[in-house]
Amino acid sequence: MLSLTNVSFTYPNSSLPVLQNISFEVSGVCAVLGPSGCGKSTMIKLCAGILTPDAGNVLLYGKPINPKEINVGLIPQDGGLLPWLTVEENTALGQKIKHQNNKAKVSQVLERLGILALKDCYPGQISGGQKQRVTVARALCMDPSLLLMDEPFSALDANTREEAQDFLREITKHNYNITTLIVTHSVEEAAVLGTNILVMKKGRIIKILKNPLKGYNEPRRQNCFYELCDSLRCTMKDKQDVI
Amino acid sequence: MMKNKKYSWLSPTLAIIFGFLLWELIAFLVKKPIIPSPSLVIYSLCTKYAAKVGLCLLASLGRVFAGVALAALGGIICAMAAVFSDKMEKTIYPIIYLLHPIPKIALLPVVLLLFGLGESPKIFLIFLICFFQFALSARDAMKAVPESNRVVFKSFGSSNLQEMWHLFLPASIPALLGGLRLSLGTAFSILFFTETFGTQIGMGAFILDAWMRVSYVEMYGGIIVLAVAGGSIFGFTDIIQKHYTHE
Ligand SMILES: Nc1ncnc2c1ncn2[C@@H]1O[C@H](COP(=O)(O)OP(=O)(O)OP(=O)(O)O)[C@@H](O)[C@H]1O
Ligand SMILES: [Mg+2]
Repeated sequence: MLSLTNVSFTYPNSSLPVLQNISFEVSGVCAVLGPSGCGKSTMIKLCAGILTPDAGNVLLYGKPINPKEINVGLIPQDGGLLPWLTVEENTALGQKIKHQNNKAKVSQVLERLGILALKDCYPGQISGGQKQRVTVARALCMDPSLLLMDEPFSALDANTREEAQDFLREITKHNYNITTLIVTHSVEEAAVLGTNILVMKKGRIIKILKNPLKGYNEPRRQNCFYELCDSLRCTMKDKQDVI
Repeated sequence: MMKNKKYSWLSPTLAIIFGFLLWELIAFLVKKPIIPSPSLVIYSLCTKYAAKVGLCLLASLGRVFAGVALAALGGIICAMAAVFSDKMEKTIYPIIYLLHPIPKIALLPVVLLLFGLGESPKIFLIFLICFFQFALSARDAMKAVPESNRVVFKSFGSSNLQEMWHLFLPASIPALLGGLRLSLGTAFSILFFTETFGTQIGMGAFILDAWMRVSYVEMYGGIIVLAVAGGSIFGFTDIIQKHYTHE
C-alpha cells in the first residue's frame, strides 16, 4: 500500500511548485492519467525515493521508501537503457547493483516478454517497442515490491500493447504485495490496468476513482469499459481547475 | 554485411601497397640517397637493426602509455569530481580552461630544468598534452549521460561509487578514446622532440642518430616503425570503441 500525504514538491532550480498538496492511498495497480507537464514523472521519482518532497510524506506500508532497502522497479519515461550493455546485461543491471546473481530469473522474464532471442543484442540494434519490453524486464527481474512505470508501453503497436497489458495484469493479479503506479496517456490503458485511476492536472489530483471493471477477465469487452473511458476523457478535458 | 566484413582488410592493404609503389617510383626517379627505395629500407630494417629498433620502440611506447594512463586517470578523476559536485567543477575547470590553450612544447625548457633528463620529463609532457583533452571530453561525456540512466541506478539503490564505475566511467570511454586520437599526434611529436635530448634509447634518439650518421636508410626505417606504431594505436582505439558503441 502506497500512501502520499500532503506532498508538495518544487524543483530546486525553479520557483513554480510542480506538485501541490498531493494526498492519496492506493494498493494494487494505480493508473495515473494527466496532461503533459502536470507532474506525473516527478511524482514517480518522489515515490521511488529519488526526490524528497518539500512537505508531506511518501510511505509504502507505513515506511519511508528507500531503494537500498526495498526492491523498486522503476521504468523511466525514456527507458534509460545503457547502450554499451546487451539486453541481457541491461535486464540484470539491478541484480548487479544489489550484488545478486539470478540468471535464471533474467531468462525467465525475457522469455515471458518475448525478447529472449534478443538477449545478446544491444539497445541500439533493437526496435523501440522491444526496448520498452527490456525496460519492463529490467524492472520485473528484481521482484519489486514497488513497481513504478512511466508510460512503459507507449511505443508498442496496439496488439503488442494489449499483450503487454495482459502480462502486467497477470503479474499483479498473482502478486498482491506489489504496489504498482503506472503513468499513461491512454484512458483505455488506465481503464484496463488500474485498480484505482488517478487523474492529475497542474500538479494536483482532480479525481481518484475505483475502477468498476476490476475483477473482469476481459475488461475491454465490457459495456462499462466505454462509459468509463468516456467519463475519464471528460474529466481530463474539464476546463475548470478543480482543487 | 558478410561480404563487407570479409573484405574489410582489402582497401587498406591496397592503399598501403599503392603508397609503397609510389615511393618506389619516386625513389627510382630521384636517384638520391635522401630518398632511398622502400624495399631497401624494409629489407635492412628486418635484417640489420631490428633488435635495436625494437628496443627503442618499446622504450618510446612505454613512455607514451605511462603518460596516457596517468592523463586518463587524472582526466577521469576531474570529470567525476565535476559531475558529482558543482563546486568542484567551478574550482577545477577554470584552471583547466586557462592551462589547456598553452602550447605544451613551450613548457619543454621548464620541464627539462625541473625534472632533468630522465624518463619523468618525457612522461610528464605526454601527460600534460593528453590530460586537458581527457579532462574536457570526459566531463562533457559524463554530463551528457541521460538523467533517466541515473534515475534507474538510484532506483536500484546504487551508491555513488557504483554509479561512477558502472555508469559514468563506461559512458566516458568513447570520449576518452576520441581525446586520445586528438592528442596522440601531438604526443608523438613532442615525445620525438624530447627523445632527441640526452636520450640513448627511444625512437627520437634512433632517428636523430641515423640522421646524424647520414644513414638515410636507417632513418626511414625508424620513421616507418614510428608510423606503424602510431597507426596501430589508432586502430586499437577503434577496436575498443566498438565495444562501447553499438548502433
Ligand atoms: N529537472 C527539472 N527541473 C526543473 N523543472 C522540471 C524538471 N523536470 C520537470 N520539470 C518541470 O516540472 C513540471 C512537471 O514535469 P513532469 O516531467 O513531472 O511532467 P509529466 O506529467 O511527466 O509530463 P509528460 O506527460 O509530458 O511526461 C513541468 O512543468 C516541467 O517543466
Ligand atoms: Mg513524464
